[in-house]
Order: sequence, then C-alpha cells, then structure tokens
Amino acid sequence: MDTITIHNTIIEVMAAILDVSRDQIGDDASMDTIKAWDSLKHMKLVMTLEQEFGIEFDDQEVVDLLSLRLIELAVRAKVPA
Amino acid sequence: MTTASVVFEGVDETRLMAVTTAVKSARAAAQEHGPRLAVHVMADCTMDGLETFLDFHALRGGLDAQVVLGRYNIFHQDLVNPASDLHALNPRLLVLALVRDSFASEPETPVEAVTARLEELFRLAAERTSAAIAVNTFVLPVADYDRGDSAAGRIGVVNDWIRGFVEANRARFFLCDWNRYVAAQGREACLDWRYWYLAKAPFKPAFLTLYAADLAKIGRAVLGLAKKVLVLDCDGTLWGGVLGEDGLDGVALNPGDYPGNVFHAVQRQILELGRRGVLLALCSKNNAADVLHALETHPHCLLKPGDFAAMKVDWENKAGNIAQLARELNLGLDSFVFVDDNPFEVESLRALLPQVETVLVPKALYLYPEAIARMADRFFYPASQTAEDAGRTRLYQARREAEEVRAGFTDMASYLRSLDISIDIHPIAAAEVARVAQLTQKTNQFNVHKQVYGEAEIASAVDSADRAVYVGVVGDRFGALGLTNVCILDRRGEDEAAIDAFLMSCRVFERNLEYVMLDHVIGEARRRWRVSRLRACFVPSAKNKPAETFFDNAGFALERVEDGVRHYVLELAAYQPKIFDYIRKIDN
Repeated sequence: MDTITIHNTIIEVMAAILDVSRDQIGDDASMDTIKAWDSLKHMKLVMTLEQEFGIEFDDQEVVDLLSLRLIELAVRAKVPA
Repeated sequence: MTTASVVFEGVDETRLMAVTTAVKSARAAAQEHGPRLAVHVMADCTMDGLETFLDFHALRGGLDAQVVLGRYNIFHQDLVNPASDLHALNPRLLVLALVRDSFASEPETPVEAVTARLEELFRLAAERTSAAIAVNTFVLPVADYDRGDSAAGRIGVVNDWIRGFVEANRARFFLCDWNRYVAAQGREACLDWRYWYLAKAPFKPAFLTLYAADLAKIGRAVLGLAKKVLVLDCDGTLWGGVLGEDGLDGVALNPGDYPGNVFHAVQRQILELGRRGVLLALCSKNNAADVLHALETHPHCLLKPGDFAAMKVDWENKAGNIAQLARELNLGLDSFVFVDDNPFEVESLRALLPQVETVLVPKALYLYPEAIARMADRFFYPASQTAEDAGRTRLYQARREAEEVRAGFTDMASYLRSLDISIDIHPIAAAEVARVAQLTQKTNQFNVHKQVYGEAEIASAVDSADRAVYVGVVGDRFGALGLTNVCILDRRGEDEAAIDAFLMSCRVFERNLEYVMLDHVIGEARRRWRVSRLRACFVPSAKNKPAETFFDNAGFALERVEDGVRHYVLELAAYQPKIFDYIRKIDN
C-alpha cells in the first residue's frame, strides 16, 4: 500500500471515529489539537485502524499513537508496501 | 425505513469503520428512523464501541436508538438516586453488561456468593426502573479439564443460575449469552486481552456487533415489533417430495434416512417455535384433505393440525391467501414470515407483499435446519412467553371454528347471540399487571392512543386514588379468551375524569365489547369520583384505524383536532349507553 493511500485512509478513519470533518485534521493533528480525541475515542481509533489495515499494535505502540504523524509512521512500518 | 435501509446493504457489520459510516449516511438520508428506543448501558467494564454497533443494528431493524453508556461501575448509585442520568433517560431497555471479576474477586469465590450479589443487583434494577433488562452470561475461560470444582465449572454453574433467573422473570429480563458470541466468532476474534489489561475493555468489534444485534432484537420485541406468525408451505418444506404425487408413504420425513432426517429436524424446530408463542400457519397448494390426513396420520410427522392457528390449503395464489391469513388472525402483514422451497413462490411474494419476510429452503437440504435456526434467531428472538402466549394457538383455533359456525348465520346479531359472550370487568389485580403491560406494548389496532407502559407503571396505579386501571376478561362458548380489554382512567380535578388508555385485543373484535367496557368504567368514574365529565383523545397511528370512530360512536362530542389528535368530551348527564343483550356481564 502506498503512503498516499495510507495517509488518506488514516484521515478517513480519524474523521469518522472522532466525528470531525477531514479538513479539521491537519498534518500536526494530535490528541492535543483535536478535542474529541480522548482516551476512550483513542481505543476505538486504534481498533478501527487495526481492522482497516489488518494489523495489530502492541501495548506500547497503543500508548504512543498520539498524533497523525506517529500513527502514519506506525502503520507504514506494519503494512507491506 | 425506506431510503435509509439501502445504506445497510452489504455493510460488513463487524467493522467499526463500515458501521460508523453506514450509521452516519443513514442518519443523513432519512428524517424518520422508526420508533425511538432509549437504551441505558450499565457496565462494570469498558463497553465503548457498543453504542455504535447498537445504533447500527437498531437502525437496520427500523428503530431509532438513543444509547447512553452509564458511568463505569457505579450502577447501584445510579439505580437508587432518582436524579441520576439513568432515571432522566427513563430507558425502555436497560443493559447490564457485567464481567465476572466484579462479582468474584477470587477464582475460588463460592457460587452462592456470586449469585447472591447478582440477584441483589437484578432485583434492584427491576424495582427501580420500568425498563426491560438485558443481562449476560460470563465468558468461560479455556479449560482443558474440568473436575467439576474448577473455575470454569463454577462459572458454568453461575451461568446456569443466570439463565434460570431470566427464565423465571421473562416478563422483564432477557438473556444475552456472551458465550454464544465467543463460540460463533472464536476467542481470538472476540477477546481483546491487550485492552482488557490496559483499559478493562474486554471485547473486540466482532463480539460487540453480535451483542448489539441481540440487543436490537430485544429492543424490537420490547416495543412489540417482533414477528408473530410463521407461514409454512407443505411439499418440500414440511416434508420432502410431493404429497399429491408420492403419496403418504412416499414423502421424506423418516428421521432414520436422509433427507427425511432433515425435514424431521426442521419440524422439531418449528414445533419448538410454536411452544414459544409463535403462531404457525399453513399456506400450500395441495388438496386440503390430503394435508390434514398427512398431519394426522404420518407416523413421523411431528406437527399436528392442532399446532396451526390457521390454514390456507388450496390452489389459490399465495399472496392472496397470506393476506387472507392476516385478516383472519387480525395481524399486520409485517408480522409474518413465510417459508417455501419454490423460488417462484418466494419471489412473487416478495414482489406482491414486500412487508412479509421470506425464507427459501436451501437447495443443499442439509443446510435447511441451520437456515431455520437463523430465521428463528433473526425474526422470533427473543421469545417472550407468557401464559397467554402458550394458549394463543388454541384460542385462534377456537375462533377458526367460530368463523366456520358464523357462515351458517344470516345476521350478525343472531350469530353473536349464539356465541354466549361473557365479560368480567374489574379493577386490575396484581396477577394481571404483566398481561396489561404486555397489551399496552402489543396492541396496535384497537388502541386509541398507543402508549407503552412497563409493569412498574401499571402496578403503581393499583392503589392510586386518582388513577384507575380496569380490565375486561372475556369468554365465549369456545373457551376463555383471556384478558383482552384495558381502560386506564385519570381523575382530573373535582369534576372531570380522562381516559388515558383504552385498548382491546384483536381477538375479540366485532363483538361490541368496547362499548360494554366503556359503559362500565363510566359507571365506576361516577361512583368513585363523582365526576360529571369524561375527556378522551384519539391519537392516530399507522395501525389504529379500527378505533378511529369509537368515541364518536359512543356519543362523545369532538371538541377540537390538534396536530391530528382528536380531543373528545362526554357530559355524563347526557350519556346514553348502548345495550347489547347478547353480552353477559359477570358481576363480582
């Protein structure tokens, strides 16, 4: 999967699960900039990303996925190119 | 659900993303989403995600769910405090989602200690709310051996106790068997050990979606929307082969052979559905005498003529016959499910009567029992059985005989006279509370204003000074028809009373019992409260046309019409009772 598709899929998942519009998710989006992104939504977000990409995160990764950039890096490392 | 239902086709219901998107589009596409179902979830674990799946399954089933996840693990306080969010929502469905850890701190905690704590919570929930309550079994651990006193063994015993409690309290309680979801999807797909230990969230989406689907079905049943009638074809559906050609000995129904064993198994499933209160009916193109003979005499035929509430066995069009069955049973076509092995019949029914759900017998016959099990689970779960339900088929049969008798009478009055109709009208007794609550849920046709009451609300009127519930128990020469009429009266100030509810089960239509009931409660209102005026209103729904002109016919004056609601008043001094000499009132 190419990086553009990965990026767009993550944005789509975030918009749906956090219930915000796509343009509210800038490149610097993080738990600090998006108000709806609390710890319970975070859990749903992780579950959805895992389902959509067919991957799994371990306990440490789950805690580290705090921004769009970090999520992209973690997904790219797991999804075959 | 018209435009929005398209959104749900082909959605993978195990994926949070697909489900979230479908819910969003459905909500955007349609203004109306069907009757509202307020659900409060009380959990001692993290259940986030369940609300999305429940919203999805409810919408797909034609319900507009409003799901509130209660605060984590503080349900005793929420139940007891009248100012809590729970009581503000006043849910129709209360979900108790409980994990075993909260009730047994150690694997060795004795079974009795666990069940005592569960029972205390269940009873508190039933007492403090008027909601239907969904409880769950505990997920069993993997146990490679079980000596009876193992942890798995003890959980099994607790689960059996929970099942027993639900069974004994089935008017209020429903069971969601968590082990069934785990068995269907596998432990790996269901249990999220990572989030269990990180956030006390035990379940993955594959589990949550099955749980939510069951809860949505319970919601439909609670709102009186579950299917009620299973219509069956005969040849190729109840037995293999064609009765008219292969003869009684030639049809496949022997449990010792394939495919006879398949049909035998299916008949057993159908019989069980009948026992749980589903009305069974036949609709088949055959000679009626052949079918009756087969049902009566085939040694392996489990279904007998007496198991069917109605039959249409002739050479007429099935759509017309099923519409006729709906009239005969006085039920809407949307409460029917039809099973046939002929794709033509199934397709033409889908085209002509789209309200009727259809099931085609699978070509691979060994899959037929599984298809019936899925159909039962989808349309007839959960079975809510009351004593009334169990006797219902017998009642419908008696009425079928009555209709045959009616053919022999030229005028209606002499027919009604021959029925020897009796009605016993009295203030509600404690034992009748469950049936009255059930009638407020299930009665759609003769119901001047459909308001669904829980048992607690009905029970609270029993001793009230300003509210009275009257019931009518009807019988005729074919047998007891049971509690069929309900009227709830409210006192309004010194001089007025108002009818809050007035409804009648469809099994006693066209006997003028509604007027006898009204006359009785007018007498009671005068005697008890000394009022001189009675108010009432008719709130139209899609189904209550049979009650539309009742107040006009009874002599009420139409005061005004507001938003379709017809407001009536009756000055009791001017009231002229209607007399029906063929109805015998039983005095207590």
